[in-house]
Amino acid sequence: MNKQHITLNINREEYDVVVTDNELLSNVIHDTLGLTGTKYGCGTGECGACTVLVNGDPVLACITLVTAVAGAEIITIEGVAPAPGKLDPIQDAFLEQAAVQCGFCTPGMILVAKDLLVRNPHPTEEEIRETIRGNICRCTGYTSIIRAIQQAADPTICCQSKP
Amino acid sequence: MSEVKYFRPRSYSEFTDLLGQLPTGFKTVAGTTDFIPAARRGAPYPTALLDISKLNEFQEIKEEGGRILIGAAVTMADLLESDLIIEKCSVLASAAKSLGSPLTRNRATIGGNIANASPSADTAPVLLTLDADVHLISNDGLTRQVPLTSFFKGYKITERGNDEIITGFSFTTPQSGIWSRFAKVGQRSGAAISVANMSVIIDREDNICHDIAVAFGAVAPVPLRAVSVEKAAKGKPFDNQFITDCCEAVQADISPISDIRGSADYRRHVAANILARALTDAFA
Ligand SMILES: Cc1cc2nc3c(=O)[nH]c(=O)nc-3n(C[C@H](O)[C@H](O)[C@H](O)COP(=O)(O)OP(=O)(O)OC[C@H]3O[C@@H](n4cnc5c(N)ncnc54)[C@H](O)[C@@H]3O)c2cc1C
Repeated sequence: MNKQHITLNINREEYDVVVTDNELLSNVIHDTLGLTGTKYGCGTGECGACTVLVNGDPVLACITLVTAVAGAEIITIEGVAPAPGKLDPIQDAFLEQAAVQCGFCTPGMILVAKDLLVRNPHPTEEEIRETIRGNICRCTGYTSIIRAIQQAADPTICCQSKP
Repeated sequence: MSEVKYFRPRSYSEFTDLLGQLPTGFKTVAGTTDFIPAARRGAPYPTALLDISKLNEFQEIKEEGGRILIGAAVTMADLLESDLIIEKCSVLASAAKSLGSPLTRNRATIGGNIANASPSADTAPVLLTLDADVHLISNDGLTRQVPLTSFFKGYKITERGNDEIITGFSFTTPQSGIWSRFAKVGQRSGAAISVANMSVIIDREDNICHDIAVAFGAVAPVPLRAVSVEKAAKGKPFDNQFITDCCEAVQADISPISDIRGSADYRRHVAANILARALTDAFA
């Protein structure tokens, strides 16, 4: 099989990787680089568990060729927190609103929410629902996820999960 | 998987330098949102891939000499955010907005949607009603333009030769004052493939239908113009008879099948209903 050498910029770090031709971005991130927050779900672009940000836009890593994003700025869930031991406000809100159960969809949910709040710091509920349309969650029923994104946008929204 | 050569030109000159050198059996890809799922389902892998998604010239949307030009690598997200498209051709923006989820739309291109030639491709009916031309270039460097109305030949068969690449689309800028709509019926409201879709562009005054273009998708082996509907409607005054005639005519234009997404019978009903609703709203 043909192998090639490419440089990937992931979470503001450069990775020199040897990839086989037509390898998927999700494989390289998860298996080769061990950044296991990016999940491989359906493999056909339906579920959103493999979401990563490419030059700021959320894309599906399981239907993207790794060679197609060489040189681009990629952010995975591991790159969202501002510093070690600190969480992004969206991550905090997900915890507080108990918007995580099995956790498989969570990295994708947080990344699409991140992109939304960068573009639109005060989204309506409808805009939040539209944003997470391509991300499937089988545990929460979405309500707590929407609430978490609302809380991240507006921290004055009270936390319902805390006693 | 055997060896695959991968080419990713970044400019038009890099692209033209490659022409003539692309190995036989190469395939053009852009967003790979159709290509990878198809490969996973077992579609044979090509010997070489030409990735046009980073080619600047193919990412342009512009207006020149009364025509709108859209590059093959323009994504659905680009169409949605383009002021030119929103202002002058909103019907294409609404088709782009209906395609997949925001995640898919960030990568899915208009060239891929048309080249893939699914009967349910959401931009196809819109481009058909706009009388768009498909711009092609072959591996030999020969260019030609084909009207989209003669591009789809049969189920997933198109006029495009194996060594031809779609470079973009062009169409006359729609006149201001026309009424247009893209309608789509899927199995659920979000991120669903069309059971039926439709684009309508109407030039009307008072209650007379001066000119009309109607196209449907997912109700025949190929996306198509509803010529009988157009004939029944052109020059006619809007009234109940007008709706009845158009909805009868559409049955002659379409030839739906039953599949996992809906029965042929259901598709016939839905096609007539979305048409009737659009015509009613157009003259409301
Ligand atoms: C989750 C999901 C939801 C979807 N929902 C919809 C939907 O609602 N409506 C809809 O219409 N589609 C939908 N699609 C299908 C797909 O996203 C679109 O058809 C998209 O526009 C294809 O563009 P692409 O750039 O990804 O094409 P690619 O996958 O890169 O290519 C598709 C095909 O076209 C060929 N091709 C691509 N570009 C060119 C070119 N310039 N010249 C010649 N050949 C070319 C390729 O060889 C390949 O055969 C969906 C897909 C997914 C994964």
